Amino acid sequence: MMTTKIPKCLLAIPCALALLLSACGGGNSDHEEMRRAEDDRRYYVIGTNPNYPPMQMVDPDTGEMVGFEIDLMNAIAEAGGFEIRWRSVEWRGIFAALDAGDIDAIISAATITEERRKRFDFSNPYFKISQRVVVRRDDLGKVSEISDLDDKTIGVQLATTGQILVEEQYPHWDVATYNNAPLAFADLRTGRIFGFMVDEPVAEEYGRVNPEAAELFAPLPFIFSEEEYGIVVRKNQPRLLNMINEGLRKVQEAGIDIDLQEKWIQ
Amino acid sequence: MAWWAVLILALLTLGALWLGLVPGGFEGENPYRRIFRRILDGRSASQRIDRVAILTSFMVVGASLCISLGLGIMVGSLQVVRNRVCRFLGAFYVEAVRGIPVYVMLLFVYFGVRNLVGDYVTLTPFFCAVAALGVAYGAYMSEVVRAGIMSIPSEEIEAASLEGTPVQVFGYIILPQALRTILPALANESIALLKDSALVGLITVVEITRAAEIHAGSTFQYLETYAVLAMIYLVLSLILSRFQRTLERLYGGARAFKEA
Repeated sequence: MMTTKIPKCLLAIPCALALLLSACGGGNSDHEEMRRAEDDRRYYVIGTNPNYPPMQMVDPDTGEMVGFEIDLMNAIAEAGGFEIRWRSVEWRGIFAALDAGDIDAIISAATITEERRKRFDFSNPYFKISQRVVVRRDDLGKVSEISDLDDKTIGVQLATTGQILVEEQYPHWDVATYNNAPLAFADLRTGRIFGFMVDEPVAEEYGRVNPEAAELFAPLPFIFSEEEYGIVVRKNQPRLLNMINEGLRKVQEAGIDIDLQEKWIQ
Repeated sequence: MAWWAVLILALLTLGALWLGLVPGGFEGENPYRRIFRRILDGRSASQRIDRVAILTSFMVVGASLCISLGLGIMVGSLQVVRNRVCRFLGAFYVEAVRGIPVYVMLLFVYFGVRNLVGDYVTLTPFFCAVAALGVAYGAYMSEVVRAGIMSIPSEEIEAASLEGTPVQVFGYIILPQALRTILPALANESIALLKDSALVGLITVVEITRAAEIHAGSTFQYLETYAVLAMIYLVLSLILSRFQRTLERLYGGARAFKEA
């Protein structure tokens, strides 16, 4: 009896290994696709950080990524005649993921900056924003000018233009740095930070994920910067960049971007 | 020997980076000096951060090491006493805590517990970091301590019990021998704690990893910044292992091998 039982148990090991290998193979299909020559690519992988309502977020009911930039990029791909697949990437690692070739492009509220332009190519701008500071609604009256923030703790998100702006222009502020926007809003809610410096659409529309948030938070009236969002690609992808710009041009001519802004932002 | 080899390699690498001796070189100013300053200091992100990043790292590691060692010795001993309630409590703590990732523990303590007790006490990021790391590593260390105590022959404990009170037996016979045996394992856990302290940037504590992330995020010097950061951690853990070797020499942990 024993002699027949032992081989059966051992048989499970190669089976498990085979399963594991096939699982790895499945996960790597995007990588295989990305190794193809630029002209034979069947689809491009678009990275985004779905922690940034209303630009992109995960719909709590369906678990799918939705938002202004999701709709916009889908429209651009359709107009530009190329296929895309979405991948969710943490913001702080998103440029490194693009650099490493895990994704082909970023549409994730990425502001066009000189520093980023040195390393990556940007599409034409598709949305104008500014940096704003969100506070709790009860605290709105406590601030009448920017210098009233001098003795307050302000949250920023790691590796965002908001963080760089505070670092360069308001180095005397007390700053708390968060990995993503929801963590900063969590601390804003409980009063550990007085305000959160974030892109304007998020400052105004964070309540879209959570109706409670709409009642709790409101942005201060100050405009801290003028910025423009662009879609980011690696420098060696002129073909993809052209297709994105062409698609974006068609989308803008048809006024689809304005419709989407009305749907998601205003 | 091996220790010196790794230390010299790490210091040579750090020195080469400081002097800018890297393959391929760089355009313009040597970026590494700025990276060293930004990682070790970290205050440029906000001048009001009251401590430099490296000091914050030391304080987080030092405080949570003390807590976890104390908890480890207490709970490890609790699990070998005769009283069933004590044994149950000790085992309960270990099983409950060691199954939770430190990352999740930090999220839970900082963002979660705040909602329960925030109206009565202020939970600062530093306090939460130390509490989460200390409690988590206390569980890991208590298992090591328990192993050390169980390695002592029961005859020896019985013989000692004839003469001394339980407290005396524990303090003079059990604990010194157990600690000597488990020194390498405790040092291992301490080095693991040092490395896990890199996680506390999650809850806004600006230690060296967070300072490095802030620098890399705005300059895109990922390779350069994280190379320096990795070498700094290596040097710090080498210091801990030297401390371990010194203790082993002083308390004779390694002598058993030489005599045998």
